[in-house]
Amino acid sequence: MEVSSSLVEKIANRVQLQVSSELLSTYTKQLRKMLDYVDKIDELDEGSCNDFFSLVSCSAEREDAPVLYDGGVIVQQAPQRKGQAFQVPQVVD
Amino acid sequence: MTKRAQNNQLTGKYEPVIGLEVHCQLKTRTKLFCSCPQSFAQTPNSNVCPVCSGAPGVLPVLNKKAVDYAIKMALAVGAKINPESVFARKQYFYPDLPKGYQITQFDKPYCEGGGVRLAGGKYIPLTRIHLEEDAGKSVHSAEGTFVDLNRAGIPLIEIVSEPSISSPQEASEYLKKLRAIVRYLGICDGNLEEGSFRCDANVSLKPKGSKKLGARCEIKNLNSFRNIEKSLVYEIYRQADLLDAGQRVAVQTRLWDPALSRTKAMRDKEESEDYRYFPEPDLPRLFLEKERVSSIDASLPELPDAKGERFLKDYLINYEESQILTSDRDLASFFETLVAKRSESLPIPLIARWVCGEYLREMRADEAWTLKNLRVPGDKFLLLLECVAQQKISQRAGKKVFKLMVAEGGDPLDLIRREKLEQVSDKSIIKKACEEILHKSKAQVDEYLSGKEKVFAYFVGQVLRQTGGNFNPQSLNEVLKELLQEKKKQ
Amino acid sequence: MTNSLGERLWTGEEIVSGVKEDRSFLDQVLNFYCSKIKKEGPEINCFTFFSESALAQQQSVLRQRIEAKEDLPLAGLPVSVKDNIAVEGMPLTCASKILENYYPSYSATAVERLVKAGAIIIGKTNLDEFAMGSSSEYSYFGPVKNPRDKRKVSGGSSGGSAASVAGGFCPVALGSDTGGSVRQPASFCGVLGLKPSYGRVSRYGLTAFGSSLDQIGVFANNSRDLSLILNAVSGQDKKDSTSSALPPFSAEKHESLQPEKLKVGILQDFLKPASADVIESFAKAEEFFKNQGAQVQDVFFPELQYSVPAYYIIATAEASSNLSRYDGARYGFRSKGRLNSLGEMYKQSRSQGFGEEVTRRIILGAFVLSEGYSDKYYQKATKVRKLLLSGINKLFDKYDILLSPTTPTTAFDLGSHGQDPVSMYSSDVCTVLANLTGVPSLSVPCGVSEKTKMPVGLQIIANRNQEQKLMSVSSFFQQGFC
Repeated sequence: MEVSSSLVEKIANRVQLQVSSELLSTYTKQLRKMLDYVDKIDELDEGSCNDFFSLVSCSAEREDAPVLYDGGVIVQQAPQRKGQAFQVPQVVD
Repeated sequence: MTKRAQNNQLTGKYEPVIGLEVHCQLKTRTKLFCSCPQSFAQTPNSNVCPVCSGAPGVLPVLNKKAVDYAIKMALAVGAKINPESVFARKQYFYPDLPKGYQITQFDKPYCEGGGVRLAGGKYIPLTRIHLEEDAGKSVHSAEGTFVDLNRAGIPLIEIVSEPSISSPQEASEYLKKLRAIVRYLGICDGNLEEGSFRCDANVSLKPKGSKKLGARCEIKNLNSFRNIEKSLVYEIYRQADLLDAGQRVAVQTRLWDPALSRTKAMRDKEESEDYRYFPEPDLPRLFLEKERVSSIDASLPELPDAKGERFLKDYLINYEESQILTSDRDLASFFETLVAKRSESLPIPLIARWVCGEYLREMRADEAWTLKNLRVPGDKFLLLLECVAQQKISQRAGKKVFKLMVAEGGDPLDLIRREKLEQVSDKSIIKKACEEILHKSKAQVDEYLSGKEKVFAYFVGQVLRQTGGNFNPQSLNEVLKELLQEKKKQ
Repeated sequence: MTNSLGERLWTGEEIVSGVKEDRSFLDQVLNFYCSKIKKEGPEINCFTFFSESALAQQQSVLRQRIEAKEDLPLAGLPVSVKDNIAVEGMPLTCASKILENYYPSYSATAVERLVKAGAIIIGKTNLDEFAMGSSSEYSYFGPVKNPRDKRKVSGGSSGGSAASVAGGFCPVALGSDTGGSVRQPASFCGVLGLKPSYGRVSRYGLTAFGSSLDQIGVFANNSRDLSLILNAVSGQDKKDSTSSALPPFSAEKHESLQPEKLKVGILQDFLKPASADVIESFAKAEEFFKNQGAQVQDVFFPELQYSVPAYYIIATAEASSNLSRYDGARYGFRSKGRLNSLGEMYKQSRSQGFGEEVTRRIILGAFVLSEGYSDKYYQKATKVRKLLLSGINKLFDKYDILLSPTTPTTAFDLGSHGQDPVSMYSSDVCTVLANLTGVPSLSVPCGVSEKTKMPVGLQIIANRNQEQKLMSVSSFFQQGFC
């Protein structure tokens, strides 16, 4: 499987990971190796089955009844906040 | 330029192709995947829990009522309900998306197809409807972005129409009908301004008569009916201008700026995000059994289209009135209460005309006046209408009294008496006044008798001015005609 | 009974009945474990959190509850909990810098049920960061050493839990198993490790790694203790939509085994990658079953060769998604220093907060879900999974249990896989099948390797919801096999 380090960098960007150029080349090599390993799956002709796989056999739904939770506890854990809102650096589009 | 003229101009060379995506917040008591309440919270992050704030180790659990509401919508639009559907993760990073993914439905939504009939008669088919969770709210400032997760996790249904809408006006009608349906069903407030009913539009142009679709732009930030129409008109012209100049329309996401009345490119859709969709492993498939669906079907209220047809048939009102009266379930119910309580002598079409006209006009001008909180109660309104129907007062006087009832409250009969608005229908009194006027207006009489029929209005005006305008116009016309006829014979 | 270090320690059951008889026994037990942990624990490095005051608090609450004559079937039982499972009041680090000081405001359902039954949470145990690894070397808090031989790894990712039981620091422990993370360390450390059927134990409060594969598992020195814990923690949970509605496992229904009626399948495909010493030990186990009269047959399941690749695709895909929430925004580590944009906050916090293995797997996981690659990898792996499920169902039509070595080798040296992380994936070859197909599987000690002198583990696999069978077979084996 052909994998370039620019592809790896692009993917790392998509999942918000910053990789140093040194680590990038290591990861690219390792990713190639991992993909060679998982490429084995290509050997299998698994026929055509397109369904969603699940080990769970029945629906699970809950009643529409409120349960109150102290949101303050959650906001307190924030690395930065303003009043009761989470604060993050501004989005730069 | 009038709307109609604009529409005509637009369809000259190009045909607009419009598809709408509407997100409706479902009015359940709790969120879609956790039991946090859905309530108007002043404080940020007061309706949050570990599940909707994306803490480690938490899991989603589906809200049964949200599913019931979703089924109602599918039934109301005649969609095909899928007995098995699948939830999926749509992945991207944004501060108001705490898990880093939104749980939605992708490959297999819970229903497909169905459609909506516009007031003008055109049928707009739907592609699909699916369930998904709402994101929180981010407020941007120079200091940073502030995130409130109260809204995160609120249940939404996303209704996707086929790109069969051909004009901004049709778009407006479509949205109004959709909104009426969700309000009739009681599943959503349908409030554009507050955000419980949100719309994004996909707009492209194709050369008239051609089947080839043009490049599509998505328009966002449409938070009122006015903005929706304005933005669609703007966008259609923008694209038409580009095409006329031989340029290409870029596939883009554009934001409507209401202050500047224009759309602005947000990001290039060509380089769109890869959402890395895959089926949600924390939720089983959604199985919708026939019994559940049919029991919900049996409990559906009469929907706008059916009610409109019934009104036309039973009440002998006109089509436009039937559309207005059924546009809102509470309004239809108010109207039918009036019909039920009226006296035999009060024709239903008159009630319809006055509700669609005066009543609604005054009601819309006052925010505090709602159908749950009537400023002019139904029974007093009926009394007034009866006076008009029995010709006790003229139409014009009726409108005057109604305005007084709005301003002061009070009984219509008292107000009529106080303002001396009783209409005179006694022909002997009318005859006396007419004879006086005709006697004073010998020149005009001669003009009339010589063939100038327009002078008749002068006589009417003079009589009304002299007497304070309380003559029954029909009787007045009859008396004047008789008198003038006699003069002719002389 | 003696544990794998040859120490004469109490079983969980003995502690529970002891405390029931005499309340002061609780103090004796806890004092013993406390001082052992303080003395020998740091070198093994199996705890990420151990606090005497937290312990004292639990003790006092328990005493009150005993006084109030509450029904406490596990009163006084010390349990250690893997640090990716939430315990309110204790940190939940997942052995990662990104959650270094995170304290959850809730407990996992499994933990709540244990505490309700009277158990004492003695501490949080060390693991591979976010449960990704097979050696417990990828921890922000340093590696866990194998109590049997401190130059060797304890296995992973639940190495800390395995070592805590093997090292005599507590009689039972909770771990988590996504691709073998309970069974493999159990095998390496010489204790029992159980991965229940998927859906048997609620995942609520277990930091998600591979959501469709994860299960909370149990470590103990004997299957009776495993039963006690499973009994307490299993059963449907409204907070976990994937938890099974089947009746919970009952420790009371202890079937005594009739070996002549037992149909045993030997998974030959798992013997192929195994080292000679492991095969030798395994052969002795096979011999034991034959001698006891069981019907033993060789089984060939060629699709098994695709199980590890399929596992890595699915597990990393789900993991890359599950770890998106760790972004420095609402809790956990946020990169210090000047952050000029949201993107910078995300990238720096995550890149500084996650270790190398986690980063590697997130990238691979994102890759196999990417547009253009998803069909080839993720979709295909899902199809492989279906094939494996139908294959194993067919096997269970014929056999009661399937046997294999738990791992191809005994515990390897610390640092030996540093240069080639991918090579470590192959140590999962015997274990991922049970996760992919949702069946229960248990590793029971099967002697030591003649060559390395380290424990060897026998893997017993049963059909979905047949944990009872696993318990009776492992109990039978432990008692009869020397």
